[in-house]
Amino acid sequence: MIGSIFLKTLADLRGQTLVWSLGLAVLGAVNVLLYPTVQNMPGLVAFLDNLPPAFKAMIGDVQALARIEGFLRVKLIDPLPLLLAVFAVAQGAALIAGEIEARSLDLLLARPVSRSRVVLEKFMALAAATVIMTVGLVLGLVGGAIFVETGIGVGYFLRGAANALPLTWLFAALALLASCRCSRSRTAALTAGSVVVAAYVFETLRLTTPALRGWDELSLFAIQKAGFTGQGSLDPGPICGLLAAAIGLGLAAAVVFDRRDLAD
Amino acid sequence: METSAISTKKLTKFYGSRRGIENVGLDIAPGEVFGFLGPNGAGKTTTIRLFLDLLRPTRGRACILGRDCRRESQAVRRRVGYLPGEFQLYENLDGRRLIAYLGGLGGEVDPVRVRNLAGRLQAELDRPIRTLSHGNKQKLAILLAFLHRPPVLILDEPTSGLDPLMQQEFFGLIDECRREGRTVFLSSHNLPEVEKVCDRVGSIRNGRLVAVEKVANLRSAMVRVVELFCEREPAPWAFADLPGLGDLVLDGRRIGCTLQGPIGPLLDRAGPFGIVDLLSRRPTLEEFFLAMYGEGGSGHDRQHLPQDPR
Repeated sequence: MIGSIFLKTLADLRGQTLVWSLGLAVLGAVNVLLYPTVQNMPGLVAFLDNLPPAFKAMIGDVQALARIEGFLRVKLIDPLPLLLAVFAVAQGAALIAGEIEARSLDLLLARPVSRSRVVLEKFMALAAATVIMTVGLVLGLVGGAIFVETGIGVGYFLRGAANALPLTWLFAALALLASCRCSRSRTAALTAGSVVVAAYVFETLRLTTPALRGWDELSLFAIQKAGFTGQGSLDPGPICGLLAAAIGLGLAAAVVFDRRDLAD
Repeated sequence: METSAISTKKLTKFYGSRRGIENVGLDIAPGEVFGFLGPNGAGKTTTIRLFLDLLRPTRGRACILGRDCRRESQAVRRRVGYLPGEFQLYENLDGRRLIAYLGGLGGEVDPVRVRNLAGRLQAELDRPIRTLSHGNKQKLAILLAFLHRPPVLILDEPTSGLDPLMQQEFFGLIDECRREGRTVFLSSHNLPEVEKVCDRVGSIRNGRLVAVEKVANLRSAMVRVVELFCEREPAPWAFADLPGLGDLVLDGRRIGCTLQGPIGPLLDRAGPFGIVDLLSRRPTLEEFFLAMYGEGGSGHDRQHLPQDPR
Protein backbone atom coordinates (compact mmCIF):
# COMPACT_ATOMS: atom_id res chain seq x y z
CA MET A 1 0.00 0.00 0.00
CA ILE A 2 2.72 2.49 0.87
CA GLY A 3 5.81 1.06 -0.77
CA SER A 4 7.01 4.40 -2.10
CA ILE A 5 7.16 8.03 -1.07
CA PHE A 6 4.59 8.77 -3.77
CA LEU A 7 2.08 6.24 -2.42
CA LYS A 8 2.76 7.17 1.22
CA THR A 9 2.12 10.84 0.46
CA LEU A 10 -1.01 10.01 -1.51
CA ALA A 11 -2.21 7.86 1.39
CA ASP A 12 -1.56 10.75 3.80
CA LEU A 13 -3.62 13.04 1.55
CA ARG A 14 -6.46 10.58 1.04
CA GLY A 15 -8.84 12.05 3.62
CA GLN A 16 -8.53 15.61 2.35
CA THR A 17 -8.66 14.44 -1.25
CA LEU A 18 -11.82 12.48 -0.65
CA VAL A 19 -13.55 15.39 1.10
CA TRP A 20 -12.56 17.84 -1.62
CA SER A 21 -13.54 15.44 -4.40
CA LEU A 22 -16.96 14.91 -2.87
CA GLY A 23 -17.39 18.64 -2.30
CA LEU A 24 -16.49 19.45 -5.90
CA ALA A 25 -18.74 16.67 -7.17
CA VAL A 26 -21.69 18.07 -5.21
CA LEU A 27 -20.86 21.58 -6.40
CA GLY A 28 -20.76 20.44 -10.01
CA ALA A 29 -24.00 18.50 -9.78
CA VAL A 30 -25.85 21.29 -7.98
CA ASN A 31 -24.80 23.89 -10.55
CA VAL A 32 -25.99 21.76 -13.43
CA LEU A 33 -29.25 20.98 -11.65
CA LEU A 34 -29.87 24.66 -10.83
CA TYR A 35 -29.18 25.90 -14.32
CA PRO A 36 -32.76 25.55 -15.61
CA THR A 37 -33.99 27.95 -12.91
CA VAL A 38 -31.35 30.50 -13.92
CA GLN A 39 -32.04 29.99 -17.59
CA ASN A 40 -35.72 30.70 -17.03
CA MET A 41 -35.16 33.92 -15.12
CA PRO A 42 -36.78 36.64 -17.22
CA GLY A 43 -34.50 39.57 -18.08
CA LEU A 44 -31.33 38.00 -16.64
CA VAL A 45 -29.13 38.95 -19.54
CA ALA A 46 -30.61 42.43 -19.69
CA PHE A 47 -29.93 42.82 -15.98
CA LEU A 48 -26.34 41.66 -16.32
CA ASP A 49 -25.87 43.85 -19.36
CA ASN A 50 -26.76 46.88 -17.26
CA LEU A 51 -24.16 46.16 -14.61
CA PRO A 52 -21.31 48.64 -14.25
CA PRO A 53 -18.49 47.87 -16.73
CA ALA A 54 -16.12 46.72 -13.98
CA PHE A 55 -18.58 44.04 -12.81
CA LYS A 56 -19.28 43.00 -16.38
CA ALA A 57 -15.57 42.68 -16.99
CA MET A 58 -15.21 40.37 -13.99
CA ILE A 59 -18.07 38.16 -15.18
CA GLY A 60 -16.71 37.94 -18.71
CA ASP A 61 -19.03 37.20 -21.61
CA VAL A 62 -22.41 38.21 -20.16
CA GLN A 63 -24.33 36.90 -23.15
CA ALA A 64 -22.75 33.51 -22.59
CA LEU A 65 -24.54 33.18 -19.25
CA ALA A 66 -27.71 32.50 -21.14
CA ARG A 67 -26.13 29.23 -22.27
CA ILE A 68 -25.19 26.43 -19.92
CA GLU A 69 -21.58 26.30 -21.15
CA GLY A 70 -21.11 29.95 -20.26
CA PHE A 71 -22.94 29.54 -16.96
CA LEU A 72 -20.76 26.63 -15.88
CA ARG A 73 -17.65 28.37 -17.07
CA VAL A 74 -18.36 31.51 -15.03
CA LYS A 75 -19.58 29.60 -11.97
CA LEU A 76 -17.19 26.64 -11.90
CA ILE A 77 -14.57 26.21 -14.56
CA ASP A 78 -12.92 29.62 -14.35
CA PRO A 79 -12.81 29.77 -10.51
CA LEU A 80 -11.64 26.14 -10.26
CA PRO A 81 -7.87 26.93 -10.14
CA LEU A 82 -8.46 29.32 -7.26
CA LEU A 83 -10.42 26.65 -5.37
CA LEU A 84 -7.79 24.00 -6.04
CA ALA A 85 -5.03 26.45 -5.11
CA VAL A 86 -6.37 26.52 -1.53
CA PHE A 87 -5.81 22.77 -1.30
CA ALA A 88 -2.53 22.83 -3.23
CA VAL A 89 -0.99 25.57 -1.09
CA ALA A 90 -2.15 24.16 2.24
CA GLN A 91 -0.95 20.64 1.46
CA GLY A 92 2.12 21.58 -0.58
CA ALA A 93 3.43 23.79 2.21
CA ALA A 94 3.34 20.85 4.62
CA LEU A 95 4.99 18.27 2.39
CA ILE A 96 8.56 18.93 3.54
CA ALA A 97 8.28 21.57 6.29
CA GLY A 98 5.56 19.48 7.95
CA GLU A 99 7.94 16.52 8.18
CA ILE A 100 10.66 18.78 9.55
CA GLU A 101 8.26 20.07 12.21
CA ALA A 102 7.09 16.55 13.01
CA ARG A 103 10.74 15.37 13.26
CA SER A 104 10.00 12.45 10.96
CA LEU A 105 12.27 13.56 8.12
CA ASP A 106 15.53 12.23 9.62
CA LEU A 107 14.44 8.61 9.41
CA LEU A 108 13.25 9.10 5.85
CA LEU A 109 16.44 10.81 4.70
CA ALA A 110 18.57 8.19 6.45
CA ARG A 111 17.34 5.79 3.76
CA PRO A 112 19.28 5.62 0.50
CA VAL A 113 16.99 7.99 -1.35
CA SER A 114 18.02 11.32 -2.83
CA ARG A 115 16.41 14.45 -1.53
CA SER A 116 15.33 15.28 -5.09
CA ARG A 117 13.44 12.01 -5.23
CA VAL A 118 11.69 12.83 -1.96
CA VAL A 119 10.59 16.23 -3.27
CA LEU A 120 9.54 15.05 -6.71
CA GLU A 121 7.59 12.01 -5.49
CA LYS A 122 5.76 14.17 -2.97
CA PHE A 123 5.02 16.72 -5.68
CA MET A 124 3.67 14.03 -7.98
CA ALA A 125 1.45 12.70 -5.20
CA LEU A 126 0.01 16.17 -4.62
CA ALA A 127 -0.54 16.59 -8.36
CA ALA A 128 -2.28 13.20 -8.47
CA ALA A 129 -4.55 14.28 -5.59
CA THR A 130 -5.63 17.36 -7.57
CA VAL A 131 -6.35 15.16 -10.60
CA ILE A 132 -8.60 12.98 -8.43
CA MET A 133 -10.38 16.10 -7.23
CA THR A 134 -11.04 17.37 -10.75
CA VAL A 135 -12.32 13.93 -11.68
CA GLY A 136 -14.72 14.34 -8.74
CA LEU A 137 -15.94 17.62 -10.22
CA VAL A 138 -16.40 16.09 -13.65
CA LEU A 139 -18.33 13.16 -12.20
CA GLY A 140 -20.60 15.63 -10.42
CA LEU A 141 -21.19 17.57 -13.63
CA VAL A 142 -21.89 14.41 -15.59
CA GLY A 143 -24.17 13.18 -12.80
CA GLY A 144 -26.14 16.42 -12.89
CA ALA A 145 -26.37 16.23 -16.66
CA ILE A 146 -28.24 12.94 -16.33
CA PHE A 147 -31.22 14.88 -14.94
CA VAL A 148 -30.89 18.11 -16.92
CA GLU A 149 -30.66 18.30 -20.65
CA THR A 150 -27.41 20.18 -21.23
CA GLY A 151 -26.39 19.14 -24.67
CA ILE A 152 -22.80 19.16 -23.46
CA GLY A 153 -20.57 16.14 -23.88
CA VAL A 154 -18.36 14.71 -21.14
CA GLY A 155 -15.36 15.91 -23.15
CA TYR A 156 -16.29 19.53 -22.53
CA PHE A 157 -16.39 19.00 -18.78
CA LEU A 158 -13.14 17.06 -18.87
CA ARG A 159 -11.31 19.69 -20.89
CA GLY A 160 -12.60 22.52 -18.75
CA ALA A 161 -11.56 20.80 -15.53
CA ALA A 162 -8.22 19.63 -16.92
CA ASN A 163 -7.37 23.18 -17.93
CA ALA A 164 -7.37 24.12 -14.24
CA LEU A 165 -4.63 21.64 -13.42
CA PRO A 166 -1.47 23.28 -14.81
CA LEU A 167 -2.06 26.47 -12.80
CA THR A 168 -2.97 24.41 -9.72
CA TRP A 169 0.27 22.47 -10.10
CA LEU A 170 2.17 25.72 -10.47
CA PHE A 171 0.75 26.90 -7.14
CA ALA A 172 1.47 23.47 -5.61
CA ALA A 173 5.09 23.68 -6.82
CA LEU A 174 5.37 27.17 -5.39
CA ALA A 175 4.11 25.96 -2.01
CA LEU A 176 6.52 23.03 -2.19
CA LEU A 177 9.41 25.37 -2.97
CA ALA A 178 8.50 27.43 0.09
CA SER A 179 8.18 24.21 2.09
CA CYS A 180 11.68 23.15 1.05
CA ARG A 181 13.11 26.52 2.02
CA CYS A 182 11.29 27.12 5.31
CA SER A 183 11.29 24.89 8.35
CA ARG A 184 7.72 25.75 9.29
CA SER A 185 4.74 24.78 7.17
CA ARG A 186 2.78 27.83 8.29
CA THR A 187 5.48 30.16 6.97
CA ALA A 188 5.58 28.21 3.73
CA ALA A 189 1.79 28.38 3.36
CA LEU A 190 1.75 32.12 4.06
CA THR A 191 4.50 32.73 1.51
CA ALA A 192 2.87 30.70 -1.26
CA GLY A 193 -0.63 31.87 -0.31
CA SER A 194 0.48 35.49 -0.60
CA VAL A 195 1.61 34.87 -4.18
CA VAL A 196 -1.74 33.25 -5.05
CA VAL A 197 -3.67 36.14 -3.54
CA ALA A 198 -1.43 38.68 -5.32
CA ALA A 199 -1.98 36.87 -8.64
CA TYR A 200 -5.73 36.87 -8.11
CA VAL A 201 -5.82 40.55 -7.10
CA PHE A 202 -3.77 41.40 -10.16
CA GLU A 203 -6.18 39.47 -12.38
CA THR A 204 -9.15 41.29 -10.84
CA LEU A 205 -7.45 44.64 -11.33
CA ARG A 206 -6.55 43.70 -14.88
CA LEU A 207 -10.18 42.91 -15.66
CA THR A 208 -11.61 46.00 -14.02
CA THR A 209 -8.96 48.59 -14.86
CA PRO A 210 -8.93 49.65 -18.50
CA ALA A 211 -5.27 50.68 -18.27
CA LEU A 212 -4.28 47.09 -17.42
CA ARG A 213 -6.38 45.32 -20.01
CA GLY A 214 -3.44 44.54 -22.27
CA TRP A 215 -1.43 42.87 -19.54
CA ASP A 216 -2.84 39.39 -20.10
CA GLU A 217 0.59 37.81 -20.41
CA LEU A 218 1.46 38.91 -16.89
CA SER A 219 -1.61 37.40 -15.26
CA LEU A 220 -1.40 33.73 -14.33
CA PHE A 221 -5.19 33.45 -14.20
CA ALA A 222 -5.56 35.10 -17.62
CA ILE A 223 -3.05 32.68 -19.10
CA GLN A 224 -4.92 29.80 -17.51
CA LYS A 225 -8.28 30.97 -18.88
CA ALA A 226 -6.76 31.28 -22.34
CA GLY A 227 -6.04 27.55 -22.23
CA PHE A 228 -9.75 26.75 -22.54
CA THR A 229 -11.17 28.45 -25.59
CA GLY A 230 -14.70 29.78 -26.01
CA GLN A 231 -15.40 26.82 -28.28
CA GLY A 232 -14.55 24.43 -25.47
CA SER A 233 -11.26 23.20 -26.87
CA LEU A 234 -7.84 23.33 -25.26
CA ASP A 235 -5.12 25.70 -26.46
CA PRO A 236 -1.77 23.97 -25.89
CA GLY A 237 0.23 27.23 -25.78
CA PRO A 238 -0.90 28.57 -22.38
CA ILE A 239 -1.22 25.07 -20.98
CA CYS A 240 2.37 24.16 -21.89
CA GLY A 241 3.60 27.49 -20.55
CA LEU A 242 2.01 26.90 -17.15
CA LEU A 243 3.14 23.28 -17.11
CA ALA A 244 6.71 24.32 -17.86
CA ALA A 245 6.57 26.88 -15.06
CA ALA A 246 5.19 24.26 -12.64
CA ILE A 247 7.91 21.77 -13.57
CA GLY A 248 10.54 24.50 -13.26
CA LEU A 249 9.35 25.41 -9.78
CA GLY A 250 9.20 21.74 -8.81
CA LEU A 251 12.80 21.27 -9.91
CA ALA A 252 13.80 24.48 -8.11
CA ALA A 253 12.22 23.05 -4.96
CA ALA A 254 14.31 19.90 -5.35
CA VAL A 255 17.50 21.95 -5.78
CA VAL A 256 16.71 24.19 -2.80
CA PHE A 257 16.00 21.19 -0.60
CA ASP A 258 19.10 19.39 -1.80
CA ARG A 259 21.32 22.32 -0.84
CA ARG A 260 20.00 23.08 2.59
CA ASP A 261 21.13 21.93 6.00
CA LEU A 262 18.69 20.01 8.11
CA ALA A 263 19.72 21.11 11.56
CA ASP A 264 18.67 19.15 14.61
CA MET B 1 41.41 6.38 4.68
CA GLU B 2 40.39 3.45 2.44
CA THR B 3 40.81 0.91 5.25
CA SER B 4 38.72 2.81 7.79
CA ALA B 5 35.06 2.13 8.35
CA ILE B 6 34.55 5.74 9.42
CA SER B 7 37.06 8.52 9.05
CA THR B 8 36.90 12.26 9.31
CA LYS B 9 39.52 14.81 8.42
CA LYS B 10 39.34 18.28 9.95
CA LEU B 11 35.57 17.96 9.94
CA THR B 12 34.10 21.34 10.83
CA LYS B 13 30.58 22.70 11.00
CA PHE B 14 29.66 26.24 11.94
CA TYR B 15 26.07 27.43 12.22
CA GLY B 16 26.63 31.02 11.21
CA SER B 17 29.23 32.18 13.71
CA ARG B 18 28.35 29.48 16.24
CA ARG B 19 30.61 26.46 16.32
CA GLY B 20 29.02 23.07 15.95
CA ILE B 21 32.23 21.06 15.68
CA GLU B 22 35.73 22.04 14.64
CA ASN B 23 38.60 20.02 13.17
CA VAL B 24 37.27 16.67 14.28
CA GLY B 25 39.57 13.88 13.12
CA LEU B 26 38.45 10.29 13.64
CA ASP B 27 39.65 6.98 12.32
CA ILE B 28 37.46 4.01 13.18
CA ALA B 29 38.43 0.54 12.04
CA PRO B 30 36.03 -1.99 10.51
CA GLY B 31 34.51 -4.17 13.17
CA GLU B 32 35.14 -1.65 15.90
CA VAL B 33 32.47 -0.51 18.36
CA PHE B 34 33.26 3.12 18.94
CA GLY B 35 31.64 5.21 21.64
CA PHE B 36 31.25 8.90 21.09
CA LEU B 37 30.89 10.65 24.39
CA GLY B 38 30.08 14.15 25.37
CA PRO B 39 27.59 16.25 27.28
CA ASN B 40 24.50 17.65 25.58
CA GLY B 41 25.40 20.28 23.02
CA ALA B 42 28.99 19.09 22.70
CA GLY B 43 28.69 18.28 18.99
CA LYS B 44 27.84 14.56 18.95
CA THR B 45 24.66 14.92 16.97
CA THR B 46 26.21 17.47 14.62
CA THR B 47 28.95 14.95 13.79
CA ILE B 48 26.40 12.23 13.16
CA ARG B 49 24.24 14.48 11.00
CA LEU B 50 27.30 15.26 8.91
CA PHE B 51 27.83 11.50 8.41
CA LEU B 52 24.26 11.16 7.18
CA ASP B 53 24.50 14.24 4.91
CA LEU B 54 21.70 15.93 6.83
CA LEU B 55 24.18 18.74 7.45
CA ARG B 56 26.90 19.92 5.11
CA PRO B 57 30.38 20.54 6.45
CA THR B 58 31.82 24.03 6.58
CA ARG B 59 35.26 22.48 6.11
CA GLY B 60 36.83 19.07 6.07
CA ARG B 61 35.31 15.76 5.07
CA ALA B 62 33.87 12.56 6.42
CA CYS B 63 34.07 9.16 4.76
CA ILE B 64 32.27 5.93 5.52
CA LEU B 65 33.67 2.73 4.03
CA GLY B 66 35.85 4.87 1.80
CA ARG B 67 32.95 6.89 0.39
CA ASP B 68 32.57 10.61 0.86
CA CYS B 69 29.55 11.35 3.05
CA ARG B 70 28.74 14.48 1.05
CA ARG B 71 29.42 13.55 -2.56
CA GLU B 72 28.37 9.91 -2.32
CA SER B 73 25.77 10.25 0.36
CA GLN B 74 23.25 7.86 -1.14
CA ALA B 75 25.87 5.11 -1.42
CA VAL B 76 26.91 5.83 2.17
CA ARG B 77 23.34 5.65 3.44
CA ARG B 78 22.85 2.34 1.63
CA ARG B 79 25.55 0.92 3.94
CA VAL B 80 24.52 2.64 7.16
CA GLY B 81 21.85 1.84 9.71
CA TYR B 82 20.90 5.00 11.59
CA LEU B 83 19.07 5.59 14.82
CA PRO B 84 18.47 9.31 15.48
CA GLY B 85 18.62 10.67 19.00
CA GLU B 86 15.34 12.50 18.68
CA PHE B 87 12.75 11.44 16.16
CA GLN B 88 9.08 10.94 15.53
CA LEU B 89 7.63 8.03 13.63
CA TYR B 90 4.65 8.36 11.34
CA GLU B 91 1.86 8.31 13.87
CA ASN B 92 -0.79 7.28 11.36
CA LEU B 93 0.97 3.99 10.58
CA ASP B 94 1.46 0.84 12.59
CA GLY B 95 4.88 -0.74 13.04
CA ARG B 96 4.45 -3.20 10.21
CA ARG B 97 3.56 -0.50 7.70
CA LEU B 98 6.34 1.72 8.96
CA ILE B 99 8.85 -1.05 8.32
CA ALA B 100 7.34 -1.77 4.92
CA TYR B 101 7.66 1.89 4.01
CA LEU B 102 10.99 3.01 5.47
CA GLY B 103 12.55 -0.44 5.34
CA GLY B 104 11.39 -0.84 1.76
CA LEU B 105 13.17 2.35 0.74
CA GLY B 106 16.43 0.76 1.90
CA GLY B 107 15.99 -2.46 -0.08
CA GLU B 108 14.00 -5.64 0.16
CA VAL B 109 12.60 -6.30 3.61
CA ASP B 110 13.21 -9.83 4.88
CA PRO B 111 10.10 -10.83 6.87
CA VAL B 112 12.07 -13.45 8.82
CA ARG B 113 14.56 -10.80 9.90
CA VAL B 114 11.69 -8.49 10.91
CA ARG B 115 10.06 -11.26 12.93
CA ASN B 116 13.33 -12.14 14.57
CA LEU B 117 14.23 -8.58 15.54
CA ALA B 118 10.69 -7.77 16.63
CA GLY B 119 10.69 -10.84 18.84
CA ARG B 120 14.01 -10.00 20.45
CA LEU B 121 13.09 -6.39 21.04
CA GLN B 122 9.46 -7.22 21.88
CA ALA B 123 8.45 -4.57 19.39
CA GLU B 124 4.74 -4.14 18.82
CA LEU B 125 4.21 -4.19 15.08
CA ASP B 126 0.43 -4.22 14.87
CA ARG B 127 -0.49 -1.33 17.13
CA PRO B 128 -0.88 2.18 15.72
CA ILE B 129 2.33 4.09 16.41
CA ARG B 130 0.41 6.95 18.02
CA THR B 131 -0.60 4.59 20.84
CA LEU B 132 2.97 3.43 21.57
CA SER B 133 5.15 4.65 24.43
CA HIS B 134 8.50 6.32 23.76
CA GLY B 135 10.30 3.09 24.57
CA ASN B 136 8.21 1.09 22.12
CA LYS B 137 8.79 3.66 19.40
CA GLN B 138 12.50 3.43 20.18
CA LYS B 139 12.33 -0.33 19.62
CA LEU B 140 10.85 0.20 16.16
CA ALA B 141 13.57 2.71 15.29
CA ILE B 142 16.24 0.26 16.49
CA LEU B 143 14.62 -2.46 14.42
CA LEU B 144 14.79 -0.22 11.36
CA ALA B 145 18.46 0.58 11.98
CA PHE B 146 19.43 -3.11 12.23
CA LEU B 147 17.00 -4.36 9.57
CA HIS B 148 19.27 -4.69 6.54
CA ARG B 149 22.35 -5.86 8.48
CA PRO B 150 24.24 -2.71 7.46
CA PRO B 151 28.05 -2.84 7.66
CA VAL B 152 28.02 0.41 9.65
CA LEU B 153 25.59 1.38 12.39
CA ILE B 154 25.31 4.93 13.65
CA LEU B 155 23.31 5.10 16.83
CA ASP B 156 22.53 8.31 18.66
CA GLU B 157 21.60 7.73 22.32
CA PRO B 158 20.25 4.28 21.45
CA THR B 159 19.11 3.08 24.87
CA SER B 160 17.13 6.14 25.85
CA GLY B 161 13.66 4.98 26.80
CA LEU B 162 14.54 1.27 26.90
CA ASP B 163 13.97 -0.67 30.09
CA PRO B 164 16.99 -2.55 31.55
CA LEU B 165 15.99 -5.88 30.00
CA MET B 166 15.69 -4.34 26.56
CA GLN B 167 19.00 -2.57 27.09
CA GLN B 168 20.60 -6.00 27.61
CA GLU B 169 19.00 -7.25 24.40
CA PHE B 170 20.27 -4.19 22.61
CA PHE B 171 23.80 -4.77 23.92
CA GLY B 172 23.44 -8.33 22.61
CA LEU B 173 22.69 -6.94 19.14
CA ILE B 174 25.79 -4.77 19.34
CA ASP B 175 27.88 -7.78 20.33
CA GLU B 176 26.56 -9.65 17.32
CA CYS B 177 27.60 -6.77 15.10
CA ARG B 178 31.09 -6.91 16.55
CA ARG B 179 31.30 -10.67 15.95
CA GLU B 180 30.13 -10.22 12.36
CA GLY B 181 32.80 -7.57 11.76
CA ARG B 182 30.36 -4.71 11.45
CA THR B 183 31.20 -1.27 12.74
CA VAL B 184 29.16 0.57 15.34
CA PHE B 185 29.39 4.28 16.09
CA LEU B 186 27.48 4.84 19.30
CA SER B 187 26.87 8.31 20.62
CA SER B 188 26.02 8.59 24.28
CA HIS B 189 26.39 10.63 27.40
CA ASN B 190 26.14 7.49 29.49
CA LEU B 191 29.65 6.34 30.46
CA PRO B 192 28.74 2.91 31.88
CA GLU B 193 26.83 2.08 28.70
CA VAL B 194 29.78 3.03 26.53
CA GLU B 195 32.21 1.22 28.79
CA LYS B 196 30.12 -1.92 28.55
CA VAL B 197 29.99 -2.28 24.78
CA CYS B 198 32.69 -0.16 23.18
CA ASP B 199 36.26 -0.94 22.18
CA ARG B 200 37.29 2.69 22.04
CA VAL B 201 35.73 5.96 23.02
CA GLY B 202 36.11 9.48 21.75
CA SER B 203 35.17 12.41 23.88
CA ILE B 204 33.89 15.63 22.38
CA ARG B 205 33.40 18.86 24.26
CA ASN B 206 32.48 22.31 22.95
CA GLY B 207 32.73 20.98 19.41
CA ARG B 208 36.30 19.74 19.74
CA LEU B 209 37.47 16.18 19.99
CA VAL B 210 39.17 16.05 23.38
CA ALA B 211 40.43 12.50 23.48
CA VAL B 212 40.22 9.09 21.90
CA GLU B 213 41.00 6.20 24.22
CA LYS B 214 40.72 2.44 24.36
CA VAL B 215 38.08 1.47 26.91
CA ALA B 216 40.65 -0.74 28.65
CA ASN B 217 42.86 2.35 29.20
CA LEU B 218 39.88 4.34 30.32
CA ARG B 219 38.99 1.69 32.85
CA SER B 220 42.48 1.62 34.34
CA ALA B 221 42.55 5.40 34.46
CA MET B 222 39.13 5.60 36.02
CA VAL B 223 39.10 7.52 39.28
CA ARG B 224 36.58 6.55 41.93
CA VAL B 225 35.26 8.89 44.58
CA VAL B 226 35.47 6.98 47.90
CA GLU B 227 34.18 7.75 51.37
CA LEU B 228 35.04 5.55 54.38
CA PHE B 229 33.55 5.82 57.84
CA CYS B 230 35.64 4.30 60.63
CA GLU B 231 35.18 3.43 64.31
CA ARG B 232 38.28 5.43 65.25
CA GLU B 233 39.76 8.60 63.83
CA PRO B 234 42.29 7.53 61.18
CA ALA B 235 45.86 8.81 61.17
CA PRO B 236 47.03 10.65 58.06
CA TRP B 237 50.35 8.76 57.94
CA ALA B 238 48.47 5.52 57.32
CA PHE B 239 47.68 6.61 53.79
CA ALA B 240 51.04 8.08 52.83
CA ASP B 241 52.39 6.91 49.46
CA LEU B 242 49.28 4.87 48.65
CA PRO B 243 49.35 4.48 44.85
CA GLY B 244 46.40 6.09 43.00
CA LEU B 245 45.15 8.00 46.04
CA GLY B 246 44.23 11.65 45.61
CA ASP B 247 42.30 14.53 47.20
CA LEU B 248 42.56 12.91 50.65
CA VAL B 249 40.36 14.57 53.27
CA LEU B 250 40.28 13.33 56.87
CA ASP B 251 37.29 14.71 58.67
CA GLY B 252 36.96 13.14 62.11
CA ARG B 253 36.16 9.47 61.51
CA ARG B 254 35.40 10.08 57.83
CA ILE B 255 37.95 9.54 55.08
CA GLY B 256 37.23 11.18 51.71
CA CYS B 257 39.45 10.62 48.68
CA THR B 258 39.65 9.78 45.02
CA LEU B 259 41.17 6.49 44.00
CA GLN B 260 42.58 5.22 40.74
CA GLY B 261 43.07 1.46 40.53
CA PRO B 262 41.99 -1.33 42.86
CA ILE B 263 40.37 -0.51 46.19
CA GLY B 264 42.06 -3.33 48.15
CA PRO B 265 45.20 -1.41 49.27
CA LEU B 266 43.03 1.45 50.58
CA LEU B 267 40.91 -0.99 52.61
CA ASP B 268 44.11 -2.60 53.96
CA ARG B 269 45.36 0.78 55.20
CA ALA B 270 41.99 1.83 56.66
CA GLY B 271 41.24 -1.57 58.17
CA PRO B 272 43.07 -1.01 61.47
CA PHE B 273 40.75 1.95 62.19
CA GLY B 274 37.65 -0.24 61.96
CA ILE B 275 35.71 0.35 58.76
CA VAL B 276 32.03 0.88 59.53
CA ASP B 277 30.77 1.94 56.13
CA LEU B 278 32.07 2.46 52.64
CA LEU B 279 30.62 4.60 49.85
CA SER B 280 32.19 4.42 46.43
CA ARG B 281 30.87 5.95 43.28
CA ARG B 282 32.20 6.32 39.80
CA PRO B 283 32.49 9.85 38.58
CA THR B 284 30.06 11.21 36.07
CA LEU B 285 31.31 11.43 32.55
CA GLU B 286 31.78 15.14 32.95
CA GLU B 287 33.80 14.75 36.15
CA PHE B 288 35.93 12.03 34.60
CA PHE B 289 36.90 13.87 31.45
CA LEU B 290 37.37 17.15 33.28
CA ALA B 291 39.72 15.40 35.67
CA MET B 292 41.54 13.59 32.89
CA TYR B 293 41.73 16.15 30.14
CA GLY B 294 40.78 19.49 31.60
CA GLU B 295 38.58 22.14 30.00
CA GLY B 296 38.64 22.78 26.28
CA GLY B 297 40.80 19.95 25.08
CA SER B 298 44.14 21.61 24.55
CA GLY B 299 47.74 21.00 25.61
CA HIS B 300 47.94 17.67 27.41
CA ASP B 301 44.93 16.38 25.49
CA ARG B 302 46.69 16.27 22.19
CA GLN B 303 48.73 13.21 22.99
CA HIS B 304 45.50 11.21 23.32
CA LEU B 305 44.29 12.10 19.87
CA PRO B 306 44.99 9.71 17.04
CA GLN B 307 47.70 10.66 14.61
CA ASP B 308 46.29 12.15 11.45
CA PRO B 309 47.77 10.00 8.69
CA ARG B 310 47.13 12.63 6.05
